[in-house]
Amino acid sequence: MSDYVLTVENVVKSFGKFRALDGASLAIPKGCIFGIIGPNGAGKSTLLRIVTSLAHPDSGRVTVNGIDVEAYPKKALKGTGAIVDSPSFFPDLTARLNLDILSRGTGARYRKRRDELAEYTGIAGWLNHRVREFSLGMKQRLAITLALLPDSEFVILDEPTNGLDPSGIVDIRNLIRNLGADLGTTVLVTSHMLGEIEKICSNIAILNHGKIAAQGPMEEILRRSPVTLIRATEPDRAELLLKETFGPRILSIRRMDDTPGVLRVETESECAAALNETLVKNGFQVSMLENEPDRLERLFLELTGKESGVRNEVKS
Amino acid sequence: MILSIYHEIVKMASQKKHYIMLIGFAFLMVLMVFVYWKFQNRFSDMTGGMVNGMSPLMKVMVPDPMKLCDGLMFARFSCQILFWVVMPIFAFMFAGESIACEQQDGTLRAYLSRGFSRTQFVIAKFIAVFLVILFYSMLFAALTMLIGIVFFGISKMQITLFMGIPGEFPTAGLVSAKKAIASYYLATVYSAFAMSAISSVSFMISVFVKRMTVAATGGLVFFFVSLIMQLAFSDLIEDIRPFLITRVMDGYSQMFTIDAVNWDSIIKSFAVMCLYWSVCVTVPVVMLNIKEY
Repeated sequence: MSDYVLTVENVVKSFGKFRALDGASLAIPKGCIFGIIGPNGAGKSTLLRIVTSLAHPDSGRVTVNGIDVEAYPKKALKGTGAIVDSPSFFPDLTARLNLDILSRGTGARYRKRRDELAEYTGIAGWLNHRVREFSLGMKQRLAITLALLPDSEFVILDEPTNGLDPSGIVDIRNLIRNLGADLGTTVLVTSHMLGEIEKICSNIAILNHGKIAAQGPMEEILRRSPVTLIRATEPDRAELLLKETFGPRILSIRRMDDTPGVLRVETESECAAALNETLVKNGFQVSMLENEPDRLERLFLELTGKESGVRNEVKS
Repeated sequence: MILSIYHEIVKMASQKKHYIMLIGFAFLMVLMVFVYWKFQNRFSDMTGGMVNGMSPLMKVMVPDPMKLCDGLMFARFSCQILFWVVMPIFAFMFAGESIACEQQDGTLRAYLSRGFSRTQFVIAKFIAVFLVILFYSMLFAALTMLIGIVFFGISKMQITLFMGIPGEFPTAGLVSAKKAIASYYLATVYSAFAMSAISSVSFMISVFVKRMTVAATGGLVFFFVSLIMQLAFSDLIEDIRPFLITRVMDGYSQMFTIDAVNWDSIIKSFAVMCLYWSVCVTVPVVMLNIKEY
C-alpha cells in the first residue's frame, strides 16, 4: 500500500498554445490536510480536474491510492469525494435527495453514515429542506458532507471558503481542520487565500505557471530566514550602521515601498532585539520593530516572482 | 442501472415544467371541448343526409349516427393534436434539458468527478426520459378519454375515422367500444415510443450545449422541418421519406384500427425508431466519455 493518497508525476496539460500544467509533480501523504496555492491561472483547477478524471493529461501520471486515474477512473476515485469549482446541487430537491443522488449511496449503512455526517457538518436539521433555501455557507457544508459520502477517505475541496462571510469562513475552516483529526480523512484544499491555507493545512504546495514551485510540510516550507521590519529615524544611516555592525549575519536589507521609512531586514537567525539595541545605542529612535507576520505570503511572493512594496534591495 | 434511472426520474419530477405541461394540457382540453361541441352541432345537421345514404346493413348497425360522435371519438380526435403537436414539444423539453441543464448547473461535473460510469449515466437518462414521456402519454390519454366521456358520453359502437398525414390513407371502420379503448391505449403506447425517438434528437444535442432551450429548439426545428417536408413535398422526397423522423408517427393512426393494422409498416416504423435511438444515444455516450469538463 502506498503511503501517499495522491501522486502526480510530471503532468503536462495544454490548451492550444497555453500550457496550463508544465510537468507538475506532487505527492500527498495519507492523513494530512494538503493545501495548493497559486495565483490565478497557475493551473490549480486544471490539476484538480485531471485528478478527478474530468480532464485528461497530455502526458504524465496521476494515481489515487496507487491506482492510475486515467486508466481506472472508477476504481481510483471510489473512495474520493470532490467538489471542483463552486458546489452545485439540484435546487428543487431536498438536501437529503441531493446527497443520495450525487453520492449514489444506498442501504441502511449509508443512511446511517449520511445522517451522522450531516450531524457532524451541522446540516442535520436542513436535510429535508430544498437546496434553493440554503445560504452559500450551508451549501459549502452540504458539499463537504457530499464529498465525505459514501465512504470517502480522500476529499478534494476547491476554494471552500470562497464567497463566505467572516463567520462562515471560520466555521468552514474549523470543519475542514477537524476532518483529519475526527474522521481520519485526507483533505486536499486549493485556495488563493494564503491566510486560510496557513491556518488549515499541515502540508502545502505552491503552484506557479503550471509547475510546483515548492511543497512539503508547512513548518518545513516556512522555516526560512527571519525578517524584521524596523522603522527608525534616518533610515539610510540606520541601514549602513546595521550592515557594518552585523556584516554577513544580515542577508538583505530592503526599503519598503508601501510603508516609507521602514526597513525590511532579513537575517540568518532571530536577532530583532540585537538590531534594536544597536540602533538605540547609536542614537536612533526606533518607533516600530516587528517580525514580518505573514510568512506564507512572503514565501508565495518570492516563489511566484512577485514583489510587494519593495523599493530597493541592498545585498549584504 | 435501476438506481440511476430512479435518480433521473426523481430529478425530472422536481422540475417546474410539469406545471406548464398540465396547464398546456388543460388549455388544449378547453379548446378541444369547444371545437368538438361545434363539430357535433355540424355533424348533427349532416346526419339526416348520412342516414338516407346508408345501406340497409349500416342502418341496422348504426341506427343513430349522432351517437358515433361520443366521448371516445373526442378522445381520439384530441389525441391527434396532442400527440402530433403538444407532446413533441414537451418531449423535446425533457430530452433537451437532460444533459444540457446538468452541464449548465455544474451538477454534471459533481457527478462525473466521482468516477461513476458515464455510459450508464447517459443510458439511464435516456430511459428516464422515455418513462416520463410514457407516463404523460398514458395520463393525458386517460384524462382526455375521461373528459370526453364526461362531456359527450360513450356509445357501444365506435367509428374509427382519423386524419392521417396527407398522402397516407385515412382509416375508417366500425368497432365495439372495448376494442376502440384497447386500440386507443395501444396507439398511446406506440406514440410514447415514437415521442422517445423524436425527442432523441434533442437528447443528442443536449450533450453539445449547455442550454436546455438550444437543445429543445434544435430538436423542434428538426421535427417540424421533417413534418413540413413530408406535408409539402411528399412525392419529391420519396427516397428519404422512410428515414424522416416524422415517419415514426405514421403508425400512430393505424393503431386505432386494431383489426386492420399494417404490421409491416409498424415494424418499419420501429426500425426507424431504433435507428434514431441508437445514433442519438451512442453519440452522447461517446461525447461524454471523451469530452473534458
